[in-house]
Amino acid sequence: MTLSQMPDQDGAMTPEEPSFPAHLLVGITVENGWEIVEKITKPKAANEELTPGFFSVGYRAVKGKERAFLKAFDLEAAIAMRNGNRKDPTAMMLAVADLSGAFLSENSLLEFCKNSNLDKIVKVLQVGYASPPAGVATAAPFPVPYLMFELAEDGDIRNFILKTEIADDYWRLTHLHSVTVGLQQLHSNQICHQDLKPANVLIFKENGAKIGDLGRASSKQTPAPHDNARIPGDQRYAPPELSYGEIPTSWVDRREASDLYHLGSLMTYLFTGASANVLLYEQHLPAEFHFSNWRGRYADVLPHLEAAFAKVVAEVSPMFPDWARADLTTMLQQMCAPDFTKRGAPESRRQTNSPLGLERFVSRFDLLAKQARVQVKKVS
Amino acid sequence: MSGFNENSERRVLPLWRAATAAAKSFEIQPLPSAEIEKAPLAQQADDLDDLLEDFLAKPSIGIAADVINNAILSGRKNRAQDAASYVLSHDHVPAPLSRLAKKILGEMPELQLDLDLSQKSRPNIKRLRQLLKIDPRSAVLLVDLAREYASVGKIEEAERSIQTALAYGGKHRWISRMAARFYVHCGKKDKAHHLIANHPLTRSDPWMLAAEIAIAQANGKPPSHWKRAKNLLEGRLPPVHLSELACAVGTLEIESGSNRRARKYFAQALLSPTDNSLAQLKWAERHLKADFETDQYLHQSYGAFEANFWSSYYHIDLVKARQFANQWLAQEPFSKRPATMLSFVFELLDDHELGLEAANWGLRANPDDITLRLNKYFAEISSGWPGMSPEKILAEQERIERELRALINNRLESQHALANLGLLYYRRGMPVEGRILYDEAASTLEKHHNELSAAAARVFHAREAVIHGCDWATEVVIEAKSTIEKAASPGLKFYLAKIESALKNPERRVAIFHKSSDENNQVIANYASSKISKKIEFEISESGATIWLPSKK
Repeated sequence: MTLSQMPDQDGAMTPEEPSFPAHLLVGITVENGWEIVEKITKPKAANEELTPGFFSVGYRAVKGKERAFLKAFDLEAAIAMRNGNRKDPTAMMLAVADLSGAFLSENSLLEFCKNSNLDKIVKVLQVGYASPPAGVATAAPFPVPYLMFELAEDGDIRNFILKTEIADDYWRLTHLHSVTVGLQQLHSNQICHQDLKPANVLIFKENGAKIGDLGRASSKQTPAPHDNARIPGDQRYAPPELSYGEIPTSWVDRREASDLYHLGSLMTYLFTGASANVLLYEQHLPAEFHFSNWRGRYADVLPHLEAAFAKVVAEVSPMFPDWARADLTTMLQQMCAPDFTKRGAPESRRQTNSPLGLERFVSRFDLLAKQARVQVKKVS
Repeated sequence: MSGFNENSERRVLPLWRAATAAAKSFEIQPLPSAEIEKAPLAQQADDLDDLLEDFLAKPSIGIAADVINNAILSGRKNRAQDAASYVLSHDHVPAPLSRLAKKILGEMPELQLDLDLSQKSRPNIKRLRQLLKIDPRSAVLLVDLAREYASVGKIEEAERSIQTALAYGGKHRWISRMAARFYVHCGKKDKAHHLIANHPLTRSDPWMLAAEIAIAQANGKPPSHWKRAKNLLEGRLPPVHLSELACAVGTLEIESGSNRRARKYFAQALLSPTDNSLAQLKWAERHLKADFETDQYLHQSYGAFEANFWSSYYHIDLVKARQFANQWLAQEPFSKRPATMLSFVFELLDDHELGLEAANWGLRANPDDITLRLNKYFAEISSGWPGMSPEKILAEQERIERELRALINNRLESQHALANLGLLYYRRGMPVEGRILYDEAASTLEKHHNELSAAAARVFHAREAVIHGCDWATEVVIEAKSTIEKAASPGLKFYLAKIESALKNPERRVAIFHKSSDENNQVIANYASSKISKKIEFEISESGATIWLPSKK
C-alpha cells in the first residue's frame, strides 16, 4: 500500500492526498540550516525504500551547495493505519512504539556506522525532529522525527544496469566489490543488513556504490522491532529458507547468510536484469514447489530447490564474461546456495563457528574488477 | 506377429517421471503430519504502481527490468506487459531477461508432451550432465539423469547415478521410490525391496508402503509391512495419499484370490486417484471384468497417459490410443510396456515405419526384451522394405529368419517367433509353408490356453492369407473370428474388420492394408466413438483406407 492510498470506511482503496505532518515539510528549515525543498514522491532515487515498512516520506534538502536526502518518519500515518478511525489508545501506543523503535534503531546503527567510518554505507548527516507546519491539525502532539543522509544524485544502481555504454563488466564488478566491502563492514561489526536489493545500492559520483537503508538491519548489540520477523526485509528478495518458513538458529545462518544471498541476487541482476528469485521461482522451480504452495518441511523441498538452482546457475553463467565465467559461476553458487548451511566460502564454513568468509568474496571481486579493467583496456 | 500385453500383470510400482513432471503428483506432497505452520509475514510496501509510473514517465531498460522482477514476484505479471514489450524492442538484452519478457507476453512455446520417436539420442543427458557439473550432489538431477540413461539402455551409468542420488538424498521419499523403481527395471528386485522395506519412512508413509507391497509382489515375496499398510488404509489420511496403497493392497488381494476384498480397496483408491492408481484401476477393470467408472477421472488427470491409453484402446479409438501411448512412452521412456503397446498400435494402423521406430525405441532401453524384438521383426517384414533392392531385401529376410529360428531353438517366445516366421514365409512367396507355421503357432498357443496370443496369430495369419489371395483365406478369417471372441481384444477386433473388408474387396486389399492418413484415422476415431459395432465399410483412396460409418437408421 502506498501512502497516497488509504482504506476508506468500506475497506476499499481510494487514492487520497496524505495530509499528515510528515507529508507537509516542504519549505521548513530544520537544524543546522537545512531547508527542505522538494518532496520525493517516487522511489526513483531509491530512498523512499529506506522505510521501515510504509511510514516514511522522502525529501530533498539543501544547505548552500550541499544536497541531502531527508527521511521523515510518519508517526501519524502509522497510527491511522493501525487504528483506523477509532482512536484506540493501545493501538496508537503500539504504532508509536513500533515506528519510534524503528527510528531509534536505525538512528543508532547509522550513528555507529558514521562513527566507525564504514565508508561503504550511506552516511547519515544529521538526525532531528521537524516541527509540524503551523496550522496543521495533528492526531498526536509529536514532532516529525527524521534522518538526513548524503544524497545520491544519480539514484540507485537500477538506473544504470543494462546501459551498455555505462555498465560494462568493470563497472559491475567494481560496484559488486564496493557492496561486498559494505556488507563486510557491517558484518564485522555484528550488523546484518537483511534488505540488500538493487534499490538499496546507491551510486555516488565520487565514491561509487554504497549500501543504503539500514531500516531492516539487525545488530547483535542493539535490538530492533523487526528482529523476530520471519522475513525482515523485502519478501521478494528473501532467501528461500525464510520464504519457506525455515528460520535458522545461528546468527551467521539466519542473518549473515541472508545478506550473502542478497549479494548473489544482486550479481545476477547486474548481469542478467533478473533477480535470483525471479529466475528460481518463475523459470526453473515447478509451481508445486513454490513456497506459496509448499506446506511441508524445508528439508523435503530442498532437493528440488537445489535442482532448480542448478538450472538458474546454468542460465546466468553464460551472461558472465568468458574470462571470469568460472570464478563468477562458483561465487554465485556459493552466495545463493538454497541450503543455507552450504552458503559462503566452503573453506571458511569448515572453520569453527562456520563463518561465511565474506572477506574471500571481497578479495575475489577486487581481483576480478582489476582484471576487468585490463580486459576493458584491451578491447578499447 | 506383433506382440502386446493387454492382459499382462501390472503392479503399482512408482511412476518414474522426470522430476518436473513428478512435481504435479501428490507423491511429492508432504503428509499432513509433516506439514509445518509458517510464521505470518508482515504487510509490505507495494511499490509496483510507483515503479510503473516511473517507467511510463521515463522508460529505461533498467526500470523495465525492475518492473518485470517486481510484477512477477508479487504475482501480477499482467502489470508488466508494457515493460516486457519495451525490453523485447531492444537489442542486446540479456537472454534471461528476454525470456522473462516473452513469458509475460505469452510468447514461450508450450511444453512438449509427445515423444519424437525419430530422436536417436537423448539431449537431456547432455543437459543434465552439464547441470550436475554445477551441482554434482543434486539428488533430483541424478535421478533424472539415471532415468535418461535407463531410457537408452545404459544401465551401469544409470545405477551409478542412482547410488549417488541415494547417498545425497536417500532420506527423501521421491528419491527412494525412484531408486527402487530403477532397481526393479534392471531386474534387481531384491535390492529394490530391501531399500524400501528398510527405509525409515516406510513404517508410516503410505507411498513407501505402496511401493514396498508392489515390489514384494513383483519379486514373488510377501510384503514386509502388510499389517501396517492395512492399518494405514483405515486411518484418517487424505484419500489421495492412500490411493496407490489401496491399489497395491487390492492387487495383492486379487493375487490371493479375494476379488471381493480387492474391489473394496479399488473403490477406496478411486476416492482420489493418482495417475498411477488410475492405470492400476484400468488394469483391475480388465482383470475383474468390472467397471469402476474410472473414465470420469481421466480427463481431470494431467499425466494419466497409461490409463487414458487403455481407455481409448478399449473404446477402439486407436488414434487417441496412439497419442496416449506416445505420451506414456515419453513419460516412462525406459519402460518396455508403453513401447510395446505403441508399436502394436502402429501396426494396427498399418504404420510399419513408426511401428518399427517405437519397437527400436523400446529396445534401446530393453535390448533383451523378446516381445519388442518380435514387434520389430513384424514391422520390418510387414513394411516390405520399400525402396530397397531385392538382394538387400533377401538379405534382411534371411537375417530375420536366422534370428527367429534362434529364438525358437532357445524356446524364447517360440510360438510368437514361429508365427512371425509364418509371416516371413508368406512374404517370401511361400504361403503354404507360412500357413503351416502360423497354424502350428496358433494351435500350440491354444493348447496352452493363451487365447490372446492365439487370436493374434490367427488374425495376422488371416491378413496374410487375404493379402496373398490364398484359397484358404476365407477359412482362416472364420477361424480368426471365432478365436477373437474368446480373446476379446479390441485391437484385434479392429484389425479383423479391416481383414474382412479386404476379403470382400480383393481388388482393394493392398490399399486397405496401407498406412492410413490422418484424415482417415480421424474417421476410424469417429467410428470408435460412435460405439457402433456394425460392419465397417472401407473406401480406398490414394492416401489409404477410409472406414465409413454405417448410416443411422
